[in-house]
Amino acid sequence: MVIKVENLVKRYGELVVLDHFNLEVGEGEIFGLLGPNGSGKSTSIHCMLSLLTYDKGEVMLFDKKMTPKSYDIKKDIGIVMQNVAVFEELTVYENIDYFCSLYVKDKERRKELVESAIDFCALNSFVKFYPAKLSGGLLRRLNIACGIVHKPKLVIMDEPTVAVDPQSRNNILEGIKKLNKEGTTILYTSHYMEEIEQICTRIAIMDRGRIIAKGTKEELKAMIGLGEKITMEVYQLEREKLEELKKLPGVKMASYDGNILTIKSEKGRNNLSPILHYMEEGNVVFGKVYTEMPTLNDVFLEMTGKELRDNG
Amino acid sequence: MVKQIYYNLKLVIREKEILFWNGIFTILLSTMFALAFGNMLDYEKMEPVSMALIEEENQENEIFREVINALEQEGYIKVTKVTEEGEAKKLLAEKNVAAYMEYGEELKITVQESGYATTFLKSVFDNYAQKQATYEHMMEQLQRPLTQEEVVRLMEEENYFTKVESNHAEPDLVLNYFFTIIAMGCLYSGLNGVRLVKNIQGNQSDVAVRNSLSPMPRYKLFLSSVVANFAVQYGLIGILVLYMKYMLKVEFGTHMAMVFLVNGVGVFMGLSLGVLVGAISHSKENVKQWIVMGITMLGCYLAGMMDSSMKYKVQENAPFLAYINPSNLLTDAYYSLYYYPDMERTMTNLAIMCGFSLLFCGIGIFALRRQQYESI
Amino acid sequence: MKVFSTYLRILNKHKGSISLAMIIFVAMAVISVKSSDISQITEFQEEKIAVCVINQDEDTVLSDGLKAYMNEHTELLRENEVTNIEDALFFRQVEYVVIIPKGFYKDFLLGKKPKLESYYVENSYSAYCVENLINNYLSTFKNYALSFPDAAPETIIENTKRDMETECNVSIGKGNETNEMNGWMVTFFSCAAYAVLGVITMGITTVIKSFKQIDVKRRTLCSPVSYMKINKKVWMGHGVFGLVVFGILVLLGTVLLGKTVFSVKGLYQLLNLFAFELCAMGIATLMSQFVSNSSAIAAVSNTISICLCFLGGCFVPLEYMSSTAKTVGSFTPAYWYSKATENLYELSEFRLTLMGGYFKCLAIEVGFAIAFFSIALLVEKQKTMGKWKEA
Repeated sequence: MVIKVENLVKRYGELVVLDHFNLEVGEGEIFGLLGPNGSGKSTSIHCMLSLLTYDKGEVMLFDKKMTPKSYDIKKDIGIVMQNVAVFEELTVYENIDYFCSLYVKDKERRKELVESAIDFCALNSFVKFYPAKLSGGLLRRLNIACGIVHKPKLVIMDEPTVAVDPQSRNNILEGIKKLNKEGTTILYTSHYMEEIEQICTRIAIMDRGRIIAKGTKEELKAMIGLGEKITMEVYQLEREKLEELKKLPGVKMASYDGNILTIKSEKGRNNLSPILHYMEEGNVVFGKVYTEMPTLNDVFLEMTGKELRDNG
Repeated sequence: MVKQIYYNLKLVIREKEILFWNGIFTILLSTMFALAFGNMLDYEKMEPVSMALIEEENQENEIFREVINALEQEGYIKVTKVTEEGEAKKLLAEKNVAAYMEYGEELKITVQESGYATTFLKSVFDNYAQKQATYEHMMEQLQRPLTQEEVVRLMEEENYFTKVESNHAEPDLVLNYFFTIIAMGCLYSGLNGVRLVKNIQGNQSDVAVRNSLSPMPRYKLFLSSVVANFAVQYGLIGILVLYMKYMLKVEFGTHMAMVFLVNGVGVFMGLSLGVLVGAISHSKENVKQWIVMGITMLGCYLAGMMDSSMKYKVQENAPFLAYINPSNLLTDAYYSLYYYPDMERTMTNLAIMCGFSLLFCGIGIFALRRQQYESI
Repeated sequence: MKVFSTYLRILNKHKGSISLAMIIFVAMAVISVKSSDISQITEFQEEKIAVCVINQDEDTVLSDGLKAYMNEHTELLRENEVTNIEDALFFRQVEYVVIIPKGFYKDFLLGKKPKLESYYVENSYSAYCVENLINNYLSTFKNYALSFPDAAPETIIENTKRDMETECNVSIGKGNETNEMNGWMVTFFSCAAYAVLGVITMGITTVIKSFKQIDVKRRTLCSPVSYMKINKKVWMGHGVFGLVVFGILVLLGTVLLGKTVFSVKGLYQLLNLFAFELCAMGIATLMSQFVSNSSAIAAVSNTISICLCFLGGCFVPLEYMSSTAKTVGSFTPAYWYSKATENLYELSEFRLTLMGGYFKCLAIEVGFAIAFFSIALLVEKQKTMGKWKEA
C-alpha cells in the first residue's frame, strides 16, 4: 500500500474532527476523497503528512511510519495544496526551480524536470511572469507544477481546482490522468463530484471525520436503492394524476414543479416504459424527456440526508 | 543548499518594502540629520563676539581703551564704534551686533539675548571690573597707592591650567545621532527575520507548509535563509556606513575594520531578534513587524536618537537598561570605537551583543524545531 | 451621505496606522514641554556652564571658597555625578572638569605656580569662561595673600569673594525679552508640523487608495451617480478630517500650554498651523495620485513627514542648520512654517507693520497648498482621460 491510515482520531477540544478515519490507497490509483466542506478532508491530509498532531491512530506511507523527519518518504511525495503556495517575489520559472531544488540536487536533472513540469502544466508562455500577474487558472497550474516537478511517486492534491474556470479545470484533470498514466499514485480530494467521477479509480465518501462509503463509482451507486432519474416537461398535471404516478411500480419518488415532472425510480431496468405508457393513457401532454443515472451526490444524500454542496 | 541561498537572496532583494526601510530610509534619515545638525554645535565654538561701543567725545579712559584693543587683538571681540546710543540700538535690533556697550561710571552692556556668546562677553568684562575692584579695595586697605610691582602683579593674566592630554577623539556629540541610525538599520534586519520564519514555520504560511513537506532538513532551510538575509542586510549597512563616512563626512575613528565587524554582529543580532519574535509570537506578520520596529525605535530613543543626552542619562542612572538595550549596545560600540583609543569597551559591547544574538537565535530555533502543530 | 460615511469608516478602520504620527508627536510634545515655573524673563541670565571640580588635595579654605564661588556662577556638579569624565564631556553633561591635584594649596601659597588639570571641549566659549573665572579667582586670592602676608586665609577669602562679586551691568535690549512660555509654544508648534504631515498624509492617502481601487472605481463609474459628485463628497471628507486633526492639536495645545494658546501670539500660531495643514492636505492628494499600495503609503508618508520637518527646521532650529540646508529647505512649505513661527517668537507687539515677515511666510504656505492641489487635480484629470497609467 502507498497510503495506509488506521483509526486516525483528531480532536480540537470537544470537537472530533477525525473520527477513526481509515484509508488505504494502492499503487497506481487515483483515489478520490469526496466530502462536503468541513468533513475533515484537509485535516486528514495534514495528519497523513505529519503536519498536524493527532490523538490516536497510525499513518504509513510506502509501508513506513510517517513522521515529520521522514525525509526518505518526503522525497517521494508531492503536494498540491488548496491555497496557492508560491513566492510572490519569484517568477513562474524561479518558483518551480526553487521547489524542485528542495528535492533534486543535480543541476542538469533539475533543469530537465523544471522544463518538463512547465510543459506539463502548459506554462511555457508565462515563465517570466510573477504570480501577481497570473489569472486564477494559471496560478493553479503553477501550484500544481511546484508540487509535481520532482516526479514524485505519490501526489496529494487537496481541492486543486477551487475557483478555476471550466476550461482550466478540464486541462488540470486531463493533466492528472496523464500523470497517473506515468505511474504516479494520486490522492485527490474535492467536494465536486463531477471531477471525482471523471478521474478517480476508487472513491471514498467522507462526512464528519469518517469514511461512510468507499469503492468504485459503480460500487457506490449500487449501494443505494436508487435507479435512474427521469425528468419530463409536462404542461398540466392534476394532483390525482401525480398521486397515481407515485403508485406506479418502480417509482420511488415523484414531484411536479414549474412544468417539470421529476421521477426517481428504483434500481432495475425498464423504468421509463410504464411511466410513458401511463402518461399516454392518461392523455397527459408532455414534451422533452431526460433520464440520468444516480450520481455520487445521490449516494451522499441517501447516506447522510444532505447534499454534498449545501453544507459549510 | 547553494540553490536555496541563491533563491533566498533573490527573495530578499525583491522585497521592496523591507529594502526601503533598511536601505533607503536610513540613508535619507542620515542625510536629513547631516543637513539639520550641521551647525548644531556652533553655538559653543568660540568666535569673536561682535559688539558696538558707544564712545562719547569727552570720554577718557586710557586703561579701558587699552583693554578693548587688547581683547580685539586676541580675537575675543570685534568692535564697531558708534557715537550715540540710538545707532547702537539699531545695530542690535538688526542683529548686526550681539551687544553694545557704554562706559560711564560703570560698564553697561546691552545684549540681544542670553546665550553662550553673551555670557562669554560678560565674563571678559567682569574680569576687567573685578580687577578694578581689587585695585580699589587693596588701596583702601593698604591706605596707600599700589606699588608698580603690585600693579603689574594685579594686571598679570595668569593661567593656572594645564589641559590633560587625552588620546580620545574630539567629543563631537552630533556623531551619536548617526550611530543610532546605523543601530536602527542593523536592528531593522529583524523584519527580515520575521519574514524568514514565515517561510519556514508550517503554521504561518502555505509556502512554509510546502517547505516543511520537502526532504530538505529544516536546519538547512533555516540556514540558507539566514545566510541570504544576513548577506543582503550586511551589504546595506555597509553602504550606509560608507555613505556616512565619505558623503556626510561622519567620523568613525581609525578602526574601520572593527566598524564592519560591529555591523556584522549588529545585523545578526537584529536578524535573530526577528527570528525570536517571528517564532514565538502568534500574531499576523505585520503585527510582528511592528513589534520589531517598536523595540528598535524605543531602544534608539533611549540610545539618544531624538535627544543625545538620553544615552548618557540612561547610562548613569539605569546602567542595566543600557546593557540590555540592543540599540544602545550597537550605538555604544560605534561610539567607543570612535572616541576611545582602546578596544575594551567595544569588546564588552560586542560580547554582550553576541550573547543576545545566541539567546534570541537559540529560543527562536527551539520554537522553530516543532514540525507538527495543533492546527494550521 | 453614504460616500461621506464610507470615508469615515475607512478612516476608522485604519485609525491605528494613521494615528501613529500623532502618538509620537504627543510623546515628543509632553517630554519637551517642561514642568518648571513659567516666568517672564526680561533680565539677562548667564549660561550656567556645567562644571565639575574634583579635589584631590585636602579640603582647604581655598578649595572650599573656590567651590562656593563656582556654585554661584556655574552649574557645579558633585564629584560622584561624573563617573566617566570622557563620556560626560562627549554628551555635554559636563562642559569643564577641573582637578585640584594633591599639594596644590601648599605649592600655591609657596608661589610655585602649580597647575590645575582640566578636561574640556577645545575652542569653546564654556572653556574660556570657566578658566577665566577660576584664573581670576586664584589671581585675586594670590594678590591679597602677597599684599597682606599676615592676613588669615579666611580674611583673604572674604576679600577675594567680595571683589569677585563685582559684575558688569548686563541687560537685554527692550523688545527682546523672552517668555519661557513663548519658548514652549515654539517647541509645541514646531513638533505639531510633524503630526500634521504624518497624520494628514497617511489618512487622506489611505482613504483615496480605497476609493481608487480599480474595480471599485469602475463600479462607481458605472453607477448613476456622477463621479464629480462623489469626488465632492470625498473632498468634504478631507475637510472634516483636517478640521478634526486641527481640533485635536488645539486641544492638546490647551492641555500643555494652557490659555496662552488663545493669546494673540497663540492665535497667530494657530493660523500658521492651519495654513500648513492646507499644504499637508495638498501634499497628500498629490501623493495619492502616485502611491496606492498600503505599505508604500506608510513608507512614503513617514519619509515625507520626517524629511520635510528636518529640512524645514521643525525638529532642529533654523539657526543651527547650514546655509545649504536652509537653501534646500526654502523649497519646502515646512521651512516657511518654521520661519513664520520664528517671526512670531521674536515679536512682542502685533502691529501689522511689524508682521510683514509673518504674512509673507503665510502667503507662501498657501501658495504651496494651491500648487499641490492644482497639480493633483491635473494628474487626476489626465488619468481619468486615460492618458496616464493607473497607479
